[in-house]
Amino acid sequence: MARVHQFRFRGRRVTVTVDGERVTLAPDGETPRVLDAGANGRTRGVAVATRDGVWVTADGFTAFLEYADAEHAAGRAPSADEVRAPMTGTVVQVAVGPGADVAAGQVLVVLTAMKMEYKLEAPRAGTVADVACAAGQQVELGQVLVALAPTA
Amino acid sequence: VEVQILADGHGQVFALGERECSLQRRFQKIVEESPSVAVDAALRARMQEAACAIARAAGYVNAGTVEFLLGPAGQFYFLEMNTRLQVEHPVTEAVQGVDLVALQLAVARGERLTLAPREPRGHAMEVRLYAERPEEGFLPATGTLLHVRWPEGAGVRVDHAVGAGTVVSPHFDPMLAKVIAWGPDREHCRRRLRRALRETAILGVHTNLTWLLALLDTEAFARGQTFTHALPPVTLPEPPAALWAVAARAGGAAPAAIAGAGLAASSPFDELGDWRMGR
Repeated sequence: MARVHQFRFRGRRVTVTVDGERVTLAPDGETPRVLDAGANGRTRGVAVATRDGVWVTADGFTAFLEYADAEHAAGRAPSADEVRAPMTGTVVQVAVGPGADVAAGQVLVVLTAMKMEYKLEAPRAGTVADVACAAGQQVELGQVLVALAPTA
Repeated sequence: VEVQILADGHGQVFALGERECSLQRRFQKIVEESPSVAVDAALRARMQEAACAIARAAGYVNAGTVEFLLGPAGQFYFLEMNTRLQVEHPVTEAVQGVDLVALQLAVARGERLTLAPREPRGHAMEVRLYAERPEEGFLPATGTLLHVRWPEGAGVRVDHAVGAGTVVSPHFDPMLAKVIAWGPDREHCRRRLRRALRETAILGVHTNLTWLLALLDTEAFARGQTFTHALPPVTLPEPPAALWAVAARAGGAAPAAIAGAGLAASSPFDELGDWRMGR
C-alpha cells in the first residue's frame, strides 16, 4: 500500500508517495514525477525521523524536512504577530517595550549564541503588544520573544 | 598565508612549509590547504627564512605560526604570530609527514629535535564543519546530534569529539569537526575531500556540510582562486531525488528510529548505507 508524506522545505510543500520501489514527488502546484533511481540504480542515504520531521542525508545533501501534513502541522501554524527566537541563545538587549510603535525591519531584540550576535527585526510595522524576554535570559529556538498587536 | 615553525630549546628553528587560509567568512577560516597555490619554492624559501628569523629574534620555543599577507607580486607582510598549535595544523602534518603534537611534547621535554624539513609532498586540505545554517545567513544551530557517520579511507582524517547524543549548546564555538584529505596533487585532494564529505552524515543539528560541498564544487575553488575579500559565490543546490526517497521511507518510522534505504536496492540489506533501529 502506498504511503504518502508531506514535507516542508525552503518554504515549499512537497508531497512524496512511496509505493514499493516507486517514489513519486509532487511539489505544490507542479506535476507529479516518478523519481529516477539514478544511473547506478541505487543510492545511499540515512534518515532519522523525529516528531516534527525527518533529518536526511543522501548524495551529499543534508536537510531537515519538516512534516507539512495536516496531522503534524495542526496547532503550530506560524503567526505573523509573534516574533520567535531563530536560534537557542541568550538575550543581549531588548530594544523595545510594550506599546512601542515599530517599523518593519526595526531591531526588536538582540540575541547571542556561539560568539555571534543576531538582531531580531520586526517582520512588519505595528505596535508591540508584549515583550516576553529580558536581557540576560536564555531562550530556546522557536520561543516567542515579542508579540505584535494584531492588525485590524 | 602562514608559515608553520617549530623551535626547540637548543636554538634550532625549523620551518615546515606554509598554509593557505584565505577562504574565510567573517574572519573565520573555512578551508585551509597546504601548499598554497600562490607560493612556489623560491617564495616559500623567503617566507620560511623570514618566519624563522622572527622566532629566533624572539627566542621562541614551541610550535608556532607566523602569518603573512601575500601580495600579487610575491611581496609579503608580517601580520602576527600565533604562539600555539592551530586548528589547521593537520594539513601541515599531512604534507610534511610529521606529528606536530608529538614534536611539541618532545620540545617540552627539552629534547633536541632532529628534523629534516622538506618541500611539501602532495597536497592537503581541511574543512571545518560548523553547527550553523548557511541558508539562514549562517545562524548558529543547536540541538542534539541524532546520527553521525564519519568518512574513512586512505588519505582521509577526521578530528572530532562528537557523536550521536552529543548536545550542541549555544555556549561554545560552533565547530563540530575537521575533515582533512591528502592527495598527490591539489585536484586529487579536492576530489578525495569531496568524497569524504559525501560519506559524512550529521543529522539532528544543522551544519554547513552541504554548503561546503557546494563550495568545493565552485569553479573558482577548483582553480585555486582563494582571496580573503572574495569568497566564491556559493549556490546551494536543489535537493537530489534520492533525498526525498530516503526521507519518505523514514517518514513513517517511529520518532527517532533510524532508517536507511537504498533506492531500487536488490535486497533490503545489501545497499543500506547505514541502518539501525534506534531506542
